[in-house]
Amino acid sequence: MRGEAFYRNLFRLMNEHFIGLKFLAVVWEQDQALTRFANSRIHQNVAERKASLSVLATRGNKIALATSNDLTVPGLKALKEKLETMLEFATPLDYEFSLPEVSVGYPVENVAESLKKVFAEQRASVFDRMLKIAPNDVQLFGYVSDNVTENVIMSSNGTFLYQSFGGVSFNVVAMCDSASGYASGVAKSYEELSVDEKVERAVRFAKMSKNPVEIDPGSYTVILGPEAVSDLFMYFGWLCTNGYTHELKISPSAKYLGTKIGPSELNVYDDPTHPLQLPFVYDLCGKKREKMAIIENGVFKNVLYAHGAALRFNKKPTGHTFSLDDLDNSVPVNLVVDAANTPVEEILSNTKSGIYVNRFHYMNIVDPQEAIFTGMTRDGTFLIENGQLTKAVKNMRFNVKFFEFTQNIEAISKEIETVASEYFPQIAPYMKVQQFNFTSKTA
Amino acid sequence: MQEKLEKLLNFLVSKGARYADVRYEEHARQELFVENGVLKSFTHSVDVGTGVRVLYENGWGFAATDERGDSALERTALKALEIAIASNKRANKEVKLAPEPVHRAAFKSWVMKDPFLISDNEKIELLKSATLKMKENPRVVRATGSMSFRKIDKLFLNTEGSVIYQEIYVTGAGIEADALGEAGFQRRSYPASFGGDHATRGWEFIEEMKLLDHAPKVAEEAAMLVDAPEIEPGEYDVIISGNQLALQIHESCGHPSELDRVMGSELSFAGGSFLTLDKLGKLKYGSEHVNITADATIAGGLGSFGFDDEGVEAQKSYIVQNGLFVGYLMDRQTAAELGLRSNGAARADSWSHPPIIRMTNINLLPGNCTLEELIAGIDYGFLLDTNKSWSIDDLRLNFQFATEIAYEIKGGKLTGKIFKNPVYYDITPNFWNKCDGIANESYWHVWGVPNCGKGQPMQVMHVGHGTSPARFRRVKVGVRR
Repeated sequence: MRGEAFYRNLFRLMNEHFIGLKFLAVVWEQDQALTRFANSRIHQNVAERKASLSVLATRGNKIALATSNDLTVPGLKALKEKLETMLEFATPLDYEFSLPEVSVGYPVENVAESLKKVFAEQRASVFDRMLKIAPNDVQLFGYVSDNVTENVIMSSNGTFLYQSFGGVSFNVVAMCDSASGYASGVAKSYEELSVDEKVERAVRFAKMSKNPVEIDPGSYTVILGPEAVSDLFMYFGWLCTNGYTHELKISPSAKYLGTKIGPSELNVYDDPTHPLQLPFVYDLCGKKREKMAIIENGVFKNVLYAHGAALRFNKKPTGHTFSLDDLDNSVPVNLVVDAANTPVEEILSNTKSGIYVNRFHYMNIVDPQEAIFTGMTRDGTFLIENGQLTKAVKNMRFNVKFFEFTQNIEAISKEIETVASEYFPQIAPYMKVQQFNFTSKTA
Repeated sequence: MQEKLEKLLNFLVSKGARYADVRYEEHARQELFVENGVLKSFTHSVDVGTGVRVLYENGWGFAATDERGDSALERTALKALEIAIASNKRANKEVKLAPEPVHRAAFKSWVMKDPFLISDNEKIELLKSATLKMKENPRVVRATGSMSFRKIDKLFLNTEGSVIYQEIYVTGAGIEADALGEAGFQRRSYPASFGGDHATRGWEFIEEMKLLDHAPKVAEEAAMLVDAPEIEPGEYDVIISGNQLALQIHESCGHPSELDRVMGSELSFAGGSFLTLDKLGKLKYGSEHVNITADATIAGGLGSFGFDDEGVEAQKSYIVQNGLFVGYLMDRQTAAELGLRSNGAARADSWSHPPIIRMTNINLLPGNCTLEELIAGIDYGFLLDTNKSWSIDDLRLNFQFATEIAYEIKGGKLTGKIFKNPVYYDITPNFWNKCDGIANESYWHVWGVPNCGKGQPMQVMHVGHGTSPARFRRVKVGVRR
């Protein structure tokens, strides 16, 4: 970590060398390391350190963006020169562009002291711990990773915001012959990372997954684990909460925003203040991010507006500008699917017959108009018979309309978990859902 | 720089490294995005850094930095060594590297017109004109066009004595029209979806696309799709167009033939592979029409280069020959496990990441008939064009693809009727065994896929797929919901 003082000096240099240019600048500096294991041995072990400075410059209602990882004075001069040339050729936008208003805020440091000096040996020792938990007939595959990120937002109109955050994460697939189980976890430091219970669960699911039975495609009652719930809502977040496509009426939100899409227990937030989240405090325009309801008491309540979309459609920006080369589109990054009141054990014991799904694999959007999603089950799919997980089930493909899925939610657990989803950590409960549509089976 | 890197390698050897390589890379990138005739995003980026990979006894370590000073490089090398030592403490298997000749060579992409020397104005005007042409259609609410250009300079050295310099250009463009009506919205893209087509070529590649000429048809089809019917679910004979077949090959042949996946290295993220070692030389992957190669030597292919990021020379090898599964994509470590030479498939997307097994150009070789002949052989079916979505299971068997459009075929002829939201699905070997015809080389084109994600940390690689349209019998189309 270079720390706030270094970047205050960079800000001074930028103001010195960018005279005559209105700009919004963002720095990302990242120290990331990842230890990967397969067949219960480490096969890839990496660390990277990199920084980048992106400067969005504006003149005459035109914008241009240049990025470099050379933060020296000659590097800054080269960036300025490049931007001047680009602005010459750029053409005006079709709405009145302005830089974000000046934003004042305290520096935010969300990095555990122990994360500032992590060695490869510490990451490997987490793997050692996993190996101790797994019996000899189980092979482990997965990763352990830590990162420290510094993010700075600066502008020619005086904004200087510094935030740093760090986290650790892991995932593990336990394999017992060809049967598998999966778990993942995220925390702010290795001390807070709950590894043992998750690895035990992955091993348990792997053992239970032996000799799977084949079932016919069709409509089933399912209980989805937090990993699976998280995936479905991540795709919903991507596709359905973007204010820009909403205004153009090419988002499912054009049809469903403001309507009751599920039971009153269904609450979904973009919430950087949640204690289990790794918070993103300011967006890249310097807007302080607050807890925002996306679905509240079953009603699809809000879509999100990045800086450009907000200017274009005369809306208030909601703190969702996460890319300087795309000021229009937005996505929730601290997604929380909230808990309800029923213990998962009770949900399970009340289920006469159904399927338990631990995790999905390779989800994608089949129809962006109706928010139809597809994917496969993976690493722990079981029959539920008389309130118990009984036999393992061979993997199945599903195709679901998201807004039918939400209408079919019957129960939401009081337990929630943080899962290391593909892009951002997410928080999700278990869910019981009727009429979940499996459309084909695996080979 | 070369002298600095040589010193670094000598330093690592003096510290006990069994093998090491180092890559210094400079990436320059330009991207333009135009919407409804307005330049919305105009970006230029420069990214420079060094990655060091060390094998200490039987443990790998990799570290990367964007700092340029001698002391930063030495710190990074020591970090890679420290990581390798931690890996080695837990090693329970010998790491062997397949032999590769020492190369002292240089390579440059097939570029006639350097895209970075073409004026920004010309690029912007072309995208503006193309999007405004699409916007002339009253149903089109959003017409977009994008271009991206990359120049990658790489210097690779290893402790075996190889010194390789490469200059690789990547050029790409595409246009899209979003149409809206009472019945909803639909999208049409050209020449392919998700950013268009890409190649390791220059500005001439964009000129050959003739974006302006195609814009009206793209808009018209998007508008027509809004009110088009959906296909009644069932089994149909289908012809899959080249740009969709590119993704079909990518997901159901390219990824499963990566030997690191087969050996479990990707199991916790992207998954494994059904092409297990016992199937090599035995599995009837497809019909006798199906010949699939991995070929990094094709001029201009997006997956083409001179040398991979382990210093292995670009090659052509067979994955599937006359329907039989015969080969894998390999790096030096996995090739050694099979007693083979690597076929040069180890690449990293940046100086900041280590090389992993990646597709090069994975090509379905052309057949010997015309597209008209393929169509003539269908009593009732569809021509499916342009990818809309994809999903495949963790072993790469159960797949489902959606395309932007389906053209109806009746009595051996295209009827002119179109269908929206087509979806087809199958199990990989079943599907490829249903192939009974591939169009000839006059239809053959290497499609560029610039966004192939794999690995942890995630790496996004550019790969290519040479295809001609091909016919498949009795494929399941449409999902009952």
